[in-house]
Amino acid sequence: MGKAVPRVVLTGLGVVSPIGSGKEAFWAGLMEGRSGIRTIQRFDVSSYPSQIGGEVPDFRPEDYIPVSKIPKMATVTRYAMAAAKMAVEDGQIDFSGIDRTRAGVVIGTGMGGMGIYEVQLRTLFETGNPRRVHPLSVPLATSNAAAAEMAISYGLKGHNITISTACSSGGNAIGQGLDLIRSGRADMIMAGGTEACLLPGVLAAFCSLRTLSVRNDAPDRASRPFDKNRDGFVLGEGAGVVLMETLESAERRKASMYAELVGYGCACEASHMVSPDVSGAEQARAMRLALEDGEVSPWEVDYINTHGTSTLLNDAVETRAIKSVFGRHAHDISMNSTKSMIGHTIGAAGAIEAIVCALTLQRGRIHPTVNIETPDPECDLDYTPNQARARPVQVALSNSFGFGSNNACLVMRAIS
Amino acid sequence: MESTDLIEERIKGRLAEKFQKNASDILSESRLVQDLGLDSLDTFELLFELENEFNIGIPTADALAFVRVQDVVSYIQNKTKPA
Repeated sequence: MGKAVPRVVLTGLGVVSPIGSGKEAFWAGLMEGRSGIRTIQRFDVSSYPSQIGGEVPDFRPEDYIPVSKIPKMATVTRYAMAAAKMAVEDGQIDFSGIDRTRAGVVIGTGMGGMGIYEVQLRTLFETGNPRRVHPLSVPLATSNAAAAEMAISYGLKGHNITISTACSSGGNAIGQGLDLIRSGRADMIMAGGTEACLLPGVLAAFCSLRTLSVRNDAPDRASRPFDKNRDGFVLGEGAGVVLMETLESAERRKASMYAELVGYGCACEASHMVSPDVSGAEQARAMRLALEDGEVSPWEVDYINTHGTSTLLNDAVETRAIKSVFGRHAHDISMNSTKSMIGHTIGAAGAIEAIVCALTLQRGRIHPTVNIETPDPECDLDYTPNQARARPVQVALSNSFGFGSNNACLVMRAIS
Repeated sequence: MESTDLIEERIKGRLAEKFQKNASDILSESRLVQDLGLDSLDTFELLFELENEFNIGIPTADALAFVRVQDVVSYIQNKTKPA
């Protein structure tokens, strides 16, 4: 007789974002409809077509990381470590009391340690001298640095996996964590995503791809998902980490639970590196797979955290896909786009947005999608425009659709 | 000042070379997407090369209006006219 598949719950959250770090500061910013998008300060953007982004303000790594370790971590790793520490404290978990060979880490990142590459490559090309490349470049820049440092910090000896699926990395990481626990390979996973990609080269590359908003004169109005006058996404930075564990483990240690993670769907369009298939068929398939996986009927869903990037294509296609899954019920679902306030945090997005779902389920309030000023007839669902709303939520869905057309969807249920 | 014929020839030459078409297939009336098979990334690459070659900027909003080869040619002819 086989073992029953364990149920999985979220018991700790940590977030670093352009509108605040720590779950309460983050939630307060979301409820206020505060934008974290500004003119980029940290390097000279005057010659860039798009000059705006969601930088993490006033981040103090020493609040989260031993001072001696900070120089050995790239910014992308520091964000993850900070979010991890918050999640551990929030979840009140003492890892010394558990079997740490059955506790693992899964982190998503789109660009990883690109910041290190940019600096070291400049040194190499300017000096022409390979010996001037910093000896820690590899451990600093390697894409799995965040996951590895988290494991080192907490002695987590289970699976240590880094997932890179562009904009869906964070969603895939949390889904992978769910799969690891359900398959019996782990009892506890720290899962999430991190990104620190507001860099000269990365910004230039996204500008050349013509996918960023150029509303430089009004940065806080540039990220406007589902609005008729949206003109592209805005890059953001940050990290989100969740502590997930079996229901049994959470009950045994009397942990408080935010939500149950019930479903994960993943569908690749196999069509184009950048543009979504305009029918939305594969985005819809990812949602259906997640619902089936969670044994959730479409009409039970009352909240969707959309991918909602503020590009012309995504927002219309995602709307179409949602309608094809939910039919008329789509109009009764409260939706929003966190990216309207924090921008597109690429590898961190799916994780930060999963955290929004968990908080929404716990607190019964829907944050607004800001900057909806002119409705778009192709985007006519309820995106909770401009004003937060109270609404008890039973089932939440989170969409993350990545470049390379990988579509990930997570489904969570409120704790009864 | 570059003769308008020469601009047209350069643009058509670029298209033929970049997208491996015969020069004879690149007509003024050819539609970039439907006839020449360019996708959005091909179009952005083309804009990038034209910006460099003619030393101009082509805002994305302007590029959205390019349907036929002739639209690109006229645009560049306009942009490179002496003031």
